[in-house]
Amino acid sequence: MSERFPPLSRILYVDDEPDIREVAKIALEVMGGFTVEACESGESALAEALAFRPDLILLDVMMPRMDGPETFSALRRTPGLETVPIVFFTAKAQRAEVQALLELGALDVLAKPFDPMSVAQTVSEIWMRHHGWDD
Amino acid sequence: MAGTIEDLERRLAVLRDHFIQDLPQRLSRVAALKPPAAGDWPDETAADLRLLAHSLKGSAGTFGFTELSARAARLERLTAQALTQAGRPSADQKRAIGDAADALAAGGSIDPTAAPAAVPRRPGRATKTLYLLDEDPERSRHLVDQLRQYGYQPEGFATQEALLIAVAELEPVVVLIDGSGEETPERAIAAVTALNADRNPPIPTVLLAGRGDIGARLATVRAGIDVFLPWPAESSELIGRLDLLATLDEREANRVLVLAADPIEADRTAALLERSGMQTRVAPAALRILETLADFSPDMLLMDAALPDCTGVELATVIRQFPVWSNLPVLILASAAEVQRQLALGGPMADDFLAKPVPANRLRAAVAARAEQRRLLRTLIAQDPLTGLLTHRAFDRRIEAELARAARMDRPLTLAILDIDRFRALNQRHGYPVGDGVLRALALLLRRRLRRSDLLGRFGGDRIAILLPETVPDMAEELFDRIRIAFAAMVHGGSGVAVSATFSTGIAAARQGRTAAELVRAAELTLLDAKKGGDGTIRVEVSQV
Repeated sequence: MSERFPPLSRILYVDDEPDIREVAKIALEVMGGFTVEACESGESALAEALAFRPDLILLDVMMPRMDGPETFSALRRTPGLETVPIVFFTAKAQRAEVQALLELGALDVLAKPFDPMSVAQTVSEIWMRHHGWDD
Repeated sequence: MAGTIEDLERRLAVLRDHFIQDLPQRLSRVAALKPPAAGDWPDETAADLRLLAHSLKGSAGTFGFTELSARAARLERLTAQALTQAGRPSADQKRAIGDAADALAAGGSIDPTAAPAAVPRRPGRATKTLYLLDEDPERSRHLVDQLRQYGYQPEGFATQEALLIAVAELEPVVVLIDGSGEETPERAIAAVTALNADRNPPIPTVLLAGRGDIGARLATVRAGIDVFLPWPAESSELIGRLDLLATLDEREANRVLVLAADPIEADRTAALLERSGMQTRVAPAALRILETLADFSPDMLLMDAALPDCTGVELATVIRQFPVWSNLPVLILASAAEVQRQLALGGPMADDFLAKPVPANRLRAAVAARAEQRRLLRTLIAQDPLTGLLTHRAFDRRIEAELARAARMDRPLTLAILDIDRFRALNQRHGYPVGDGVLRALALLLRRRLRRSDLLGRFGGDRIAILLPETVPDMAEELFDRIRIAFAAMVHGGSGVAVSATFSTGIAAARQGRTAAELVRAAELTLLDAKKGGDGTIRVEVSQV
């Protein structure tokens, strides 16, 4: 099989909620075979992203202090992280909000709660679409 | 390396156990943060409560505790609303938040074995959450009160925006739009369009319309509104429609009997229909079709035109000679030439033909449409049109079977007969439409409060019979006492009329050797006795052993 796009291997997951963080990490590792780092706030995400160098960042929208969109902007302003693809997770999957998040420059917006059984597959599909594979 | 599903499930189960362990502590924090009965409720406390509710909503949802997640979502929304508005939360708002917090805290006794680790989430359906869009606060409050009486969890919204935010957080089982104050349904159509754009499946919608002309109806059909109800009307009529929409995905599957010349083809066809949610049986042989029909009781028959022992048309004719099957829809699969030949014969075409080969989706649609017709007819025959309960005749047939079953298994079985107190006076004073509404409301309430296995029949007039398997008279008495209280609290009638009503109940138990007629007689006598005790009396037959 020829590589038509860079493989997705390292994912950074940012969510203040420890339960969901754990579920996401395990689900992505076990079902997707990805290497996953998880952190609990926007502030820690900046440092972690520089050290971990993820292929993709999954970002919760609603977090205390620094929320998802603020974290997004901060990541975009950080040298070396300007172009790393970011996908939002939100419990308020309202169309206006989804639209706003996409206009911000997010790759995609996923609904919470997610299904642990299929979240890795969904993320893979987003990655493939991002690289122009939409069969 | 990617692992296995079992591996993931095992690890998720561990996380879920942790969640359950921590839950009581988190719920007691919810109780601590809620607005106090008296005194100040600082913004910081409200913000903490909002975050806690948000986090509970997410975790509970992730671990499959849908009910708990729905309760947390409600608390989060109410709290967020209070935090983002300009002024301080009103006393009403604080009370609503307190109630939502209590409801969430009370949900702590979850059964750890009940919920699966990961499930498709439709908590709004499970909790019968209903959203009402109504810009008139007075009408909204009134409707919400009525809907609550019938077991819905209604919530009113004054604007489309507020409704959409709530829907994004928790999909309701149905959205009700009050357009009764408006000349045209334009606002309702805009709301439904915004609501269901890109939503699959769409949320069922009901419009209470100010005008019922064909133009308005057409416009709402085009917009995808499921029910158009000119308003004001009987609230029981509204509830009947809502109940139908709310139980769309709980209805029994259509039953299709398949008979084909080639058994492998029969199996393949059956599998195709099963995949689209129908229940099928493959008939073993044409000459044993009558046994199979009696045993399986299908909604329709699908068969080949050419069978080993006879033709499909011949067999269909034989089947129709039996009154019970005289209107069973039959669909015959034939070669294109055979279909032409049948058309040329020009006789009365009792049967439908499809030319083989039939594309799968065409076959599915053809079968579903015919089976659905038959099922509708069957329910119409067995159901009393006013109340939707079984007719006297249908009830009598079932009571025999239930009696035999109870005797065979040596299980308890109780019959209750009830009627509405002073129903004649009520009809005379307020008119028959109001009386009908009261009766329908009682039928609906009974259907909600009773189990699926309980049989409900209308014995003419205002008399309703209920057969309760696996129930002893004392349990039935308790049950009907609760229903009595709920019914007495209901307000009936539409425009300008508000009446309440009560019912009396007579209860009798099945015993070895007691026939159906004797049991009914015993319950009726006990009811007569109850009537002497005044409105709302419940009597149990004194057992004579």
